[in-house]
Amino acid sequence: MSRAVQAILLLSAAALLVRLVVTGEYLFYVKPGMLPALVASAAVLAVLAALAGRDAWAEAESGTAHDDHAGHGHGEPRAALLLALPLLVVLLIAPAPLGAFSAARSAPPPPAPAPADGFAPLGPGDPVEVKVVEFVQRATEGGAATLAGRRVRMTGFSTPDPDGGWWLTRMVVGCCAADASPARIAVRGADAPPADAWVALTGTWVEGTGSEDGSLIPAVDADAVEGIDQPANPYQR
Amino acid sequence: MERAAADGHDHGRDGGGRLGLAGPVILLGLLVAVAVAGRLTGDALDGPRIGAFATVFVSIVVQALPFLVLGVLLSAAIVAFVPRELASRALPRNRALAVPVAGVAGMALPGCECASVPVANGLMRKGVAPAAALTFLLAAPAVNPIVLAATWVAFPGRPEMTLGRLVASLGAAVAVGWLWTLLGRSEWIRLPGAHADEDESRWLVFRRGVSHDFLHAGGYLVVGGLLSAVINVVLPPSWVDSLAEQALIGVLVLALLAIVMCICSEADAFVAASFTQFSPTAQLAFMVVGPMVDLKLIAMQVGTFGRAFAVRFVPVVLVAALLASVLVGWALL
Repeated sequence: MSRAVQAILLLSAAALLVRLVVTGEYLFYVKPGMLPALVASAAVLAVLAALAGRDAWAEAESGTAHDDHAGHGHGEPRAALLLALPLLVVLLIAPAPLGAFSAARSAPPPPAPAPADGFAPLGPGDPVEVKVVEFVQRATEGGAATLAGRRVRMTGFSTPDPDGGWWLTRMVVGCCAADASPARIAVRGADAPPADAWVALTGTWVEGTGSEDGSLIPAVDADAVEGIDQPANPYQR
Repeated sequence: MERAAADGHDHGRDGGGRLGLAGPVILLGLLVAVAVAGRLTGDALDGPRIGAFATVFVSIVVQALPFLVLGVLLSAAIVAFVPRELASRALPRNRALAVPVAGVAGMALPGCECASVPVANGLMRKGVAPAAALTFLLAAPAVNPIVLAATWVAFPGRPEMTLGRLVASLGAAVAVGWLWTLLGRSEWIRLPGAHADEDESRWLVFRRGVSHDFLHAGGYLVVGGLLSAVINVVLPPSWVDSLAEQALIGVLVLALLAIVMCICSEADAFVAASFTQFSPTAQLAFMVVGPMVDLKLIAMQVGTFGRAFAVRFVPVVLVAALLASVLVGWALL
């Protein structure tokens, strides 16, 4: 594999990271805390690409094209060419976070267990902003009392309940999108938006849903459902 | 097209630099053409299944890239800057003793499995016995402090899961290392690497080593990510639940899932904890097998150490990891 091909492959790996960081699309794939590591890796790869490109240029200029693996055993395997593939995929298939398709295919995550000293009351505000994943946790892990009678506002996307109705859903990510699983809230009293539509739901917890009825999917009586833009970080936790 | 260009480079050396540049120019042109075409075709490739495939595939690669870069930097630094005597003196001369020491030393590399393959490669090239380097390769991603802390958090109130993971992972890694000491042959391992000429500067050895190791392991990382992403969007979602009931089958199912899901060892505890319908032993097997055997690791090991190595090493590791999980699960959980 010539130095020029090596330079392009290194450059395509760097370009992938640069593009995802610049557009903010990296949040569709990994957690926000990865940002410094992504920037640093992109910088290392870009420097390596530049050095390999300089070597290739020098070889082409001098006409030597010196083959660095001649007599030294193995060169880079052809599989290295696949390093261009992730960039191609991002260029060809518009980056998007996981949505209703993936939510329907994986089991919900177990709710994080209750804090050792019990659930603090929800903050002030009417309605009060709550994460979908936190709402599910409170409803199923013994914090339901903190939800009773409070109007909450939560954002997520719509996924159809196979038994009728719809869920407000947020994908929960432990490390990267490959391990995503859905946190879901059953919405009552509002027509289903199209699947994958991002909405803000305002409503009140239906008492007894979540843990007491064994469903692990708490229900909310909707006051209002309004369309919103997809948030910068589509995942929670 | 790449094949033709590369062959031209390998065999038709009389073509000189011009032929050597034809392939790269075409490759670069293709990238630019696709970038433009991607804008023109717009939503043509926009089915939900294709979209989910793309997101899972890219996420595996993007999550792994920083760890791979860290791993190849460390590996190339070991090769270029660590004196040969130091690397071999750091471990006990006695090989049987060097194996467990290497396993415990794995606790010092806070990375996931993508970093450990190139580092083990660098250690071997520096003269560390393969058995010790392989034990390090297996132990490092499974027992480092970050992974153990994540396991602690993922299984609150169940410290036996963290302890079980430590014991089973170390046990499996050391067992494989000892087995290699007894039966392993060095000719099974191909140690590719930018050749370090004595007259080349250390800096040149370092930067060629980084590029070389990255291209080597990176291509195979993409292969593993592709396989895992295809399985993610093709496998029927409910097949897992139906198999969770039986104890032994549950262990095998979660081990198989660990192999195909290719989750970073730093995150796999959270996923393991989500398999609440399975036995604790099966959850343990998921966490012990995953950092030692998964599709991207197998692909990277084929790429780094050669196929002859991987067809022997991978099954042995898998059996050792399963046995260690079942034994520790039976004793502790």
